[in-house]
Amino acid sequence: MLVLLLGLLITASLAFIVATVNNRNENRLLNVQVHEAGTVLAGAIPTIEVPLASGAAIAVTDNGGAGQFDQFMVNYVGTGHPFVYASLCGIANGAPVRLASVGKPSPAPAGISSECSFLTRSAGSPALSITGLIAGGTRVGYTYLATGKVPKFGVYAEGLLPPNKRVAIPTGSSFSDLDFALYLGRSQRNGDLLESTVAHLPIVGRQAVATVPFANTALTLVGTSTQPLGGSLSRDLTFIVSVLGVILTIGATLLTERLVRRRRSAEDLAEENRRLYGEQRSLAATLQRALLPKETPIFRGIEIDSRYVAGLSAMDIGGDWFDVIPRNDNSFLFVVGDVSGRGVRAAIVMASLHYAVRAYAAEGDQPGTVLTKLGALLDVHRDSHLATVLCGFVDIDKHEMTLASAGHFPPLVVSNGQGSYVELAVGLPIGTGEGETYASTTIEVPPGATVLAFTDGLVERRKEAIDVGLDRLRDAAAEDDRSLSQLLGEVIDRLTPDGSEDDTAILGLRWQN
Amino acid sequence: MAELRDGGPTASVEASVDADRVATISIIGELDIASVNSVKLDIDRVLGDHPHRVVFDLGKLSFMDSSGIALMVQVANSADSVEIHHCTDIVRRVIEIVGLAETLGLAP
Repeated sequence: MLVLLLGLLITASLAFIVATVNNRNENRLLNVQVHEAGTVLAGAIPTIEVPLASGAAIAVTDNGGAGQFDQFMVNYVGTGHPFVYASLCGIANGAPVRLASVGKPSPAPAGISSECSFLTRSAGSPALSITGLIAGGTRVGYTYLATGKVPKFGVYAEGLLPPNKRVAIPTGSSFSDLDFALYLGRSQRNGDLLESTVAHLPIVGRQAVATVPFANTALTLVGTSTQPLGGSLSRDLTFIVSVLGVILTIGATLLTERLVRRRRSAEDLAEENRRLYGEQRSLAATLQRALLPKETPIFRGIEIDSRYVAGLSAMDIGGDWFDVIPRNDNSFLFVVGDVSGRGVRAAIVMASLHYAVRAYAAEGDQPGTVLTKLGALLDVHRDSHLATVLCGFVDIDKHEMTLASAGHFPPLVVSNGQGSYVELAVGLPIGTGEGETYASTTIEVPPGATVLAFTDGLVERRKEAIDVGLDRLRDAAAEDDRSLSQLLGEVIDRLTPDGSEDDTAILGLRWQN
Repeated sequence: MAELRDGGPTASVEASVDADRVATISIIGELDIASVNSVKLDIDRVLGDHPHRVVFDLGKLSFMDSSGIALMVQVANSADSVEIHHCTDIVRRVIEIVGLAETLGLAP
């Protein structure tokens, strides 16, 4: 709404400015054109004055002879000439008389009877005079006094105004964009109209006036423009600006509306994604937990504890697992494994390996045999997954541990504040070597020692050799005055302070003293 | 949302097969669960030519997780012989720890 109002406001302002500028421009152009027309008009005055002056001069030279005057004036009288009638006046016996004439005088009584009276009346006035509109306003009368202190001769002439005082400006003329009205004198009365291009007077609307001195009076030219002098574009600019502005405003409003709506839906979508992501994560975590032992079995003489931490990037269910399977009161099989990759397929592989190990353990298999049998279950070529597995058999009373590894990290043994990784023959990861057999290694575990078996999330870091992570784990686990639970918690806190990218499983065994 | 890693590929592959049907595959970047699928597509294109020998150049591979190892084993199994040249220490240790140095032709 704000955008709409603002846009319309800007449009209106722009349109107003354009209109004002255009208006001012038009006024200026009209003024210039009308004054130019006035100048042209002033330049035409000699076409009236010169023949009259010449006629008067001839009369003086010829001393009032009619022949020479007629011969000269006939060139200026008639259709296509400035005058329709011209007469030579002189003073005879103290009274003005007509000495010669060319053309037809106006029929009005004022014409003939008094045409030469100007000789007495206008002594001392300027040579050329305009007597005004005569013959019902169809003619203009001129008088011209011959030079001399007391003029003895003068010329009287009548010019015909166009029919109905209407004229047309020829197309192609530099004034063809103008309409005008020409008045005799300085007023714009209808009675003083000489000629006009328009039928209805006075001219209304935008107009400009030029006044040209003409003998004893003046000519008043009133002009208006028939079309925009600045071109149609400048006239239409206001309209164009208004229409474009409104269109742009509506467009901007719609766009803004759409952006607002889109942002809202993007926010909704992001919220939905967050919710789904959280749901999926918790679903993955739930599935994973379902596959992990709910509680580790309790044995006399050994403490068992574990931790499982889902990785930060754990959108999907991971493939880490561990298990402790009792064989009797004094011994058990444990397994820590990691199926490569993530997702439901990795979880299925993990689940099948998990239950297979349980089955083999129930059959009494030793770690090496368990891994050899697992190898038949998985083929990386077929399943796209491999698994690293550490399998151990613990005899609590004998303080013995028999281990086999399929590409997995050896366990860490911490005893008397010293940690060391068990040296172990490492076989191929499950799924990578058909018919691979796995060797078992049996070690003795000192009383009070802690054994940690884990998956790579605990020690693997990008941009860092795995040994650095293994050393870090050894150092973090070295102090042995903590409870097993405390130890596991602190190891995870210290090795993955910001959480690990990958899933992390850790199984801890602690022999009692 | 902060937990979501940006999904851009973290590894690129340059692979070719020469006239003797020896495939040279250079993996650059980080080969992990996020990049393994796109890397696999690139490598499968080369394996379509049935090379009898595959040479991995891992000189510019800075990280590899178990998904990457699984991919390499798959590639190694589909050729008669496999070798790894120019291996970074980080990747070398990962291969050694899972016991695949020999299988993948990683010289000691």
